[in-house]
Parts: sequence; structure tokens; C-alpha cells
Amino acid sequence: MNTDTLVFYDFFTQLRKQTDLQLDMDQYTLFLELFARGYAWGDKEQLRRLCSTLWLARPQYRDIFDREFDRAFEKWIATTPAPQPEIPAKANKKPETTENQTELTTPQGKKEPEQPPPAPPPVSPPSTPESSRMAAVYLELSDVDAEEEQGQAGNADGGSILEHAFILTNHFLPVKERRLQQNWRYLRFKAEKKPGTEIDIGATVERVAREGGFIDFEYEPRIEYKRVFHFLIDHEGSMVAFEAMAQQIVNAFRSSLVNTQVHTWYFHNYPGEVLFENPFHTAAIDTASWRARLRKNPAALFIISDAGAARGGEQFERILATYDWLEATRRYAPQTLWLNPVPRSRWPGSSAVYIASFIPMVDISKSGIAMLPELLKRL
Amino acid sequence: MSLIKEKNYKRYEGAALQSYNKELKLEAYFPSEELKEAVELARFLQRPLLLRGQPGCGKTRLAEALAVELYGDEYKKHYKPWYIKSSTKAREGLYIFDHLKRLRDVNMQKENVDLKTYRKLGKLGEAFEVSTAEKPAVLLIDEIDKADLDFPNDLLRELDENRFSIPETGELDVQAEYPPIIIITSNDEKELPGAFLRRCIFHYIEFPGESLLLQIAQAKIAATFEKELPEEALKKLIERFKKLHDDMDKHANADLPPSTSAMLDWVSMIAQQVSTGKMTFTKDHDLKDWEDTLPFPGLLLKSLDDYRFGTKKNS
Repeated sequence: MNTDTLVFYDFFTQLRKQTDLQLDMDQYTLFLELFARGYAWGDKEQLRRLCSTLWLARPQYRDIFDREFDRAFEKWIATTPAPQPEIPAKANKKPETTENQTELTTPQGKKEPEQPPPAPPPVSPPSTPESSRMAAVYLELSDVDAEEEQGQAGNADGGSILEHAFILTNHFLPVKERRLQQNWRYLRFKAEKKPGTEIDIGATVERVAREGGFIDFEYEPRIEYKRVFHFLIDHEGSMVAFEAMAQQIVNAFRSSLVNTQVHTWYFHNYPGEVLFENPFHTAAIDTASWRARLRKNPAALFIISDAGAARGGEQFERILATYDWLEATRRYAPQTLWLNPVPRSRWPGSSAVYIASFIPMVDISKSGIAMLPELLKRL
Repeated sequence: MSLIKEKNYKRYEGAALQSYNKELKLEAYFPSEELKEAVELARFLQRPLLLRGQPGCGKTRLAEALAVELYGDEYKKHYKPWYIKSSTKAREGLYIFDHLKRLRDVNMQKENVDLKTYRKLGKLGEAFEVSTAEKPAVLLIDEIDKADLDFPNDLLRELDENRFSIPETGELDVQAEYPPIIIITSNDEKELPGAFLRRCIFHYIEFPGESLLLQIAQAKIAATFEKELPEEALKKLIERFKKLHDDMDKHANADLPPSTSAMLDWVSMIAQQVSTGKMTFTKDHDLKDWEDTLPFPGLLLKSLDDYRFGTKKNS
């Protein structure tokens, strides 16, 4: 199949690549069929809404979605061949377009809608010149970045932080402590089932029926939530700005889960042969012994690091070292997640994008944090 | 894929609840064009519509408003709300089997009892039971993210095939004659499983603009009070509320920007004070003596940080 001619197929695959929306062909086919029947021919925004209703399962990808949609739409306009004479008349006139839709949705629908051409002409305003369009997208992205930066503990530019004397508080972090606690609670996985004290009536009756008489009660199993978590925190350098945030995350974790052991370890840039027990580097453990501990006492792992996104640039030494380290650790701790304090929109063009391709990585935002329980469960 | 197969299909226009319905005692509901479009798609594709948005933005009420529009006074027969709690199990939505009653009957040596008398259908089961192509049921699964992580996955087959079985009674195929219209709401406190999401279509309810807020507030006051607030004064209140909301929304230190439903409480409280003469408006339609301070902040600001933020800015 030549996918080049499929409407918005590129857009669909870009969404699949850049997000973890778990889109499958069924969802693309749905779109194609609706589109072929004339749905959302009204204008660009209607088309955007259709794609969003069908594909955008997680609102946190709205930025990526909009950016890729605009790109795809522009490309589509540019590559759509000149329309057939009779089609524009049908599609360009608003009332008739509406009629076409009504036809679609009325139950009587005696006649099937006409087969549209493979790529119906868009009715939206003509595309803006390339340069101004790019500028608009650029401005849009800058706005988003500016807003997101407002939520960070400080400017990602390390120099300016040291120039100004101010107190780092956790009041301006992108995720409130209360929300963190609320989300951490969902990480209470059922670890162990023990006989409980509450009678399971259904099971008891079933047992009576099975054994022909009452012998003993069946009890609801009591579920224990004991778990061990290790936090590996990148600190110093570009992470200075995010240290308060990392601390807040660990604190929220400690205070919201009972029966849970939380260990914190520190490293700089990427985890290596040694992990430090405290930020002052006064005590350390070599990674081999640490992995041995994991083998004895299985745990879930959270790595808090910008993965190079704060400074930008692709450092292949860092990417490869991180890859090797994670591969070596994976067999001891399959449940490993990466929390990146730098917003997702800033990852492109940095090592973070590469690292995110071999370990689940979320940004520390309301939506990113909300994804953790589900991600952890998938591993 | 087919055209909408509902017999007597009519598009949801949000017309039935434009004002307070005295007989049904239901408040007005104003869906956006985008939301109406999403409802149409859900009916067209016969897939659950997953609604998201800030708490209090009107996610839960859509299903009821849709049922009222489709069925008028008889809407309760076709509207099946299933409110999820943290302990809710997927099977409870299908049926509950009264084991205790059965045990008692066995001990009393009752014979020839129809096993179906011990089972009671849950909301999903009821929706399957009453849903027909002429009158599809409207099922609300409210706050699905409250339940256990596995909950949505436990419903996949039922939502896909619109059928389930009840092993206790030997009913192996309880099937809906026509799929119900399913509206699911989520507060995004927890991510939902991918397998579940791919079966849904999605809509995010944006916070309403000033004109829609005004419309909502007018409808609420008209329903609650005999005397309406002057339009200009109400406009100013809404402007003030919207500014507070937007400031809080942008500000990282604010926790929970006030919702539409909080706005309704706030405006109603002020209307009540005005109707009893405890508050009055100035010639410029401002609240007299409250020009610089936010009245009843407790109705809008729900945490200590927000309270400090909201009251500081206005004092």
C-alpha cells in the first residue's frame, strides 16, 4: 500500500512516534472512513476536532498534536491536486456541506453518500505563506515554553540563578505537593495477599454448595501494599534549578505511602559506577553492590534527571553510557521510570529524546505524574 | 462502518435544558458546539465518549441533559448513571447476586426458586436491558479514574460486545438489543489503560468563555430567585470571576482555579444577599463596599494557598 496518498497518514504516524498514544490502524481507518463520507469537510478546525476526538486520548499531548496537525494540513493543501469541477461546488458551499453531513447522520439515509475523491479539496482559507506560517508556529511554541518555564523552580539557565540571591521554595513547582501525594497513592500495588478478617459471603455460600454443608467461613483476602522504591537523583550542574523539585517529589512520596521503603541515591549527569548516599558525597555505594541489593529486595526505580534537556544538545557519550547502565540494571529492576523536570516540549534536540526511546520518560507536570501508575504497571 | 442506526435519530442540540425545568427539577445545561459534535460522533461510531475537564465543568451532567433531550419526562427510564467509587468492581455494574438470600432460602428448604430472583442488574446491565434502536439508553460511567487501575480493563469485553453472562443463574448471554450511548467522565487523577482508551473517543471540556458563563449564571439565577440581578451587574461579577479564574490558571502557585459550579454558588450567594438587601450595587454596577475585596472567597478558593492568592490580589 502506498501510504503517501493516504490522507493524514503521516500525521497519524508522527503522533504514534512522538507520543505514547497507542494508536492502531483501527483508529486510522475510522478517521479515513468518516473523512471519506464527507465528515469534517467544513473547515480546518472541524478537521482538527475530528482528529482530536478520535486520536488524542491524552490531553497532555495537545501541543504536539496541534503542531503536527498544522504541519500535516499545510502539506496536504500543498499536495492536493486541483479539484474536480463538480466537487468544489459541493464542498465550498457551506449549506450544502451541512446538508451532506445531515445526510450522513439521518437514520433514513436512503441513499448512500456519494463516493468522494481520494483527497477532497479543503474548504479552509488558503494557506498562509510559508514564512509567516512558520513564524506563527514559532511564536505559539515560544508562548507555551514561556508559560511552562513560569512553573519551574527557576530559570534553566544556571548562571542567572547564582547571580540572584533568593530562597528556593516549593511553592512555584509545576505540580503541587498535594497532587503528588494524591498520585503516589495510586502506586500502592497489591503486593501480597493474606487471609483477612472479613467474611466473603459469596465464597462462603459457594463453599457450602460445593461441600454440601457449612464447615467454615471463607474470608476476603487482605491486601498488603508493602513496596520498596529507589529514587536516583541527578544533582548539581544543570539540575541545580530542579533540586527543590526533586526533594519535594521524594518528600511527597514518603508522606503519602505507608508500609513503603524509600531510598534516595545521588549521581551527576548520568548514573555510573558509583551512587552517592547523600548530596554531599560523603558516603557511596558501588553500582554492582547496589544491584545486588536490588536482586535480594526487588524495587521500583525512579530516576529524576533532565537527561541533558536543560542545556540541550545531543551528547552521544551520555546517551550510550545511560543506555548501558540502564540495560545492566533492567534485569534487577524491570520497573524503572524516568522523571524529567524539563517540559517535554524542550526535549527535542537534546539527549533526552534518545534516552526516552529506551526508557519510559515523563515530564514532571500534572499530566506526566498522573501517567506514572499506569506506566509502572505496564513494565 | 455504517450510518447512525438509531431509529428516530435526532441530533443532540442542547435545546432541552436551556432553562430550569420545573417538572423534572433540573438546572439548565449549555453544551458547546464542539461537545455536541463529539456526542454525535460517539453515537455514529457507537463508541464510549470519554469526557475530561476540570472538576465542576459539567462533565457529569451531559449524560442527563442528553437523556432529557431524547426522552423528555420519561428520561429516567433510559438514563442509567453509574457513579464509581474507589472500591467499585466492574461486575457490580453488570449484576449483583444476593448470596445471603439464596443461603437463607436453601436453609428454609424452599424449592423451585427461580435463580433470577437473586440477581439484580447493575447500571450497565440495566442499560443493556432497556436499550433499543428506537430508544437507546444513555449510560453514564462517572469518574472512572476513581476505581482501581484494572477496572476499565475489566469492562473491555462488555463495552465491545454489549453483552455479558451471569454464571450464577446460567444466563450466558445477556445482550443489549442496541448499544447504549455511553458517556464516561474522568478527572484525570489517574491515567487510564491504553487498551481501554483505544476503544473510546475523546473530548476535553474547556473552561467556558465569559458569554457562556453569563448565560449559565443567568439561567441559574432565574431558576432560583424571583427577581433577577441586573444584567450589567451580573456581567461585572462574571468578569471578576473570570479574571480570578484566569489569573489562578496561569499562576503556578495557585492550586485549583474555581470551577463553573463554584461560580454558580458564588453568584447565587450574592443574588441572595442582594434580594434580602444586605448587598447593593453602585451606579457603575459594582458591588457596593466590595469593590476591592472578593466577597465570599470561601466559595471560590478551596485551599489555603488559593485563599491567600485570591484574597491578596483583591485586597
